[in-house]
Amino acid sequence: MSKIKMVFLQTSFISLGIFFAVGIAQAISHFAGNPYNTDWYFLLSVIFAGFLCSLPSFILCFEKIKPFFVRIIIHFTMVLASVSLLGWLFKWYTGLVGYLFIVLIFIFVYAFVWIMTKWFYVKEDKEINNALNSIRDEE
Amino acid sequence: MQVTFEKADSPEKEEALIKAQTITDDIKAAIELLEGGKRKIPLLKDGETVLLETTAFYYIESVDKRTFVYSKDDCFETRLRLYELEETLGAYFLRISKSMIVNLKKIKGVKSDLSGRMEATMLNGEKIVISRSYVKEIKRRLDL
Repeated sequence: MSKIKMVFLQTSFISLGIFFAVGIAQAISHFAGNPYNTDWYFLLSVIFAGFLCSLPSFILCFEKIKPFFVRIIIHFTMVLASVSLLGWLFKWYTGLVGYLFIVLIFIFVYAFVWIMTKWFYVKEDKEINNALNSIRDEE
Repeated sequence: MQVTFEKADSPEKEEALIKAQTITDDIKAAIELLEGGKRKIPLLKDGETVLLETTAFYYIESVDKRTFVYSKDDCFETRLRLYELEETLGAYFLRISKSMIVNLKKIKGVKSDLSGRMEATMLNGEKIVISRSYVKEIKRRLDL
């Protein structure tokens, strides 16, 4: 996968994940009798956040950092720092409780992105393996 | 001789039919050319030249400007460069990284890890790495 495609996929998955998580939070808030409205720039800020959060993905390509688990931890920390900064700039939260709520959503989105990425790779591997089955030599 | 070309949908459907009264040397050469995979290529093993059918090739690797051909359980050297082999070998041979060409028919299976790296397990159990940037070409070659 090219670097541009990786950034595009990550941006899409992160944005989708945030929209999904915020959508659920909004629905819960609405039915609990606390209407939750967002600012005019919210949607754009989420897409921007998706893009910014996709950039640390390049750290995952640094083969020199081993094992891969360490790269995940560095990546997680960098993305969480980006989200915290963006959240503060775009006023996604106020106070500690609001911040903890954002961190909770972030963990959900982070897991969602990795699950989607894994699903994408598994699907691709399966397609290739099925195609290889039909041409493979007998040994 | 009249030659007709029909486009095939996939590599599996590719075939050539030659209708002639007798098998001439030209026809033999054409058959040899069309059967590309069964062509033999001179390789070096312990200083001696050996001929090996290209169908026995698992993968070809370039290391320090030297080219090595790997079969099921052996390794040979060739004077040919990687790009020269890429041009002459059949449709099932393709580049999987800057320094490697693989025979798709010898791949047992592929598996990607979360870092995006794709690993191919060969029929002899050897594992080789496929660069992500070449996955698109593999899929194209496999009609995916």
